[in-house]
Amino acid sequence: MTRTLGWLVVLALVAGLVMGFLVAPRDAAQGNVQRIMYVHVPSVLVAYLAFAVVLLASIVYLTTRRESADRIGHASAEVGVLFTGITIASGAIWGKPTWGTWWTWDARLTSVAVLFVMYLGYLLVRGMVDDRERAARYSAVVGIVAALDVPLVHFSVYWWRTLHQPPTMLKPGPSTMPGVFAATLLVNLVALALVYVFLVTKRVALLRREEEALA
Amino acid sequence: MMPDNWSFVIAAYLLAAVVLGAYWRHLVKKERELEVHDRMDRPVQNTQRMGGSVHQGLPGTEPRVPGTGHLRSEPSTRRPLP
Repeated sequence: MTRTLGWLVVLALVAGLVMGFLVAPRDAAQGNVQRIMYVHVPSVLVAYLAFAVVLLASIVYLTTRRESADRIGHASAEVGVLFTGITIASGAIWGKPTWGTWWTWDARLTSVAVLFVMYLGYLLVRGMVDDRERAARYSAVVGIVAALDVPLVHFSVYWWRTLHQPPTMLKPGPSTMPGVFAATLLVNLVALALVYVFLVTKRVALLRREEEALA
Repeated sequence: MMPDNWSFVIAAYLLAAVVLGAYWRHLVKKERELEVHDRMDRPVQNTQRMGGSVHQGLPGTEPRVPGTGHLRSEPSTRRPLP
């Protein structure tokens, strides 16, 4: 199953690259640097998905004490941190030629940085507490509290005056983006979502084996 | 119209590939370590299943089947340290 998923991931990534570099046209205002959007936007959306899974897994763990929920939360947080890191770094790389700066402390960028640090904290808590059950319980609480920052990140561009543009996706009303740009974004979103599923599946299986080895 | 800035585009895509690739390698490495661990544990489990005695070792260390630990030199070949 993992092998099939792995090949599906490779195919989706190739399709995303073909769409991003060969099918989608050069942006009229920003030129080719706008192609960074096909990494940046899907990365943050996959990070949202990862942290939503952490939230659900944390609630399930705290209410049922099922270890499988804890493993899913742990794996999803790890992969979510990776995607948040990619979002921040690709945003900085995009910001330099378009805004003239790698970083600015505006509401969107700052709230994403806080999100990144919070989920790093989630992973640190897991590593710092020796007792497995306590580590799972504490990190589940952090997982729930940290999820409160996700809507803050998403709506920060509406609530405060920011340098960052309003959301490209997940916004009310019809899309204002031309069809080919939206399709390219969607293909890349599916590709990165598959990468997320693949990595989380593999990590969950490894966590189970690690626990068996330690038992 | 802005210049193309291809170097920025390539940097962003490369960075994403390196981060995801590094995590993937980390998982593969972990998987290999677990396979090695499983292989080392299998003789212990087999010996226990057959009713054989297993040296329990020091507290906190893994049980070992006699002869499956580190190779040790013959006492007659050992020389005192200078």
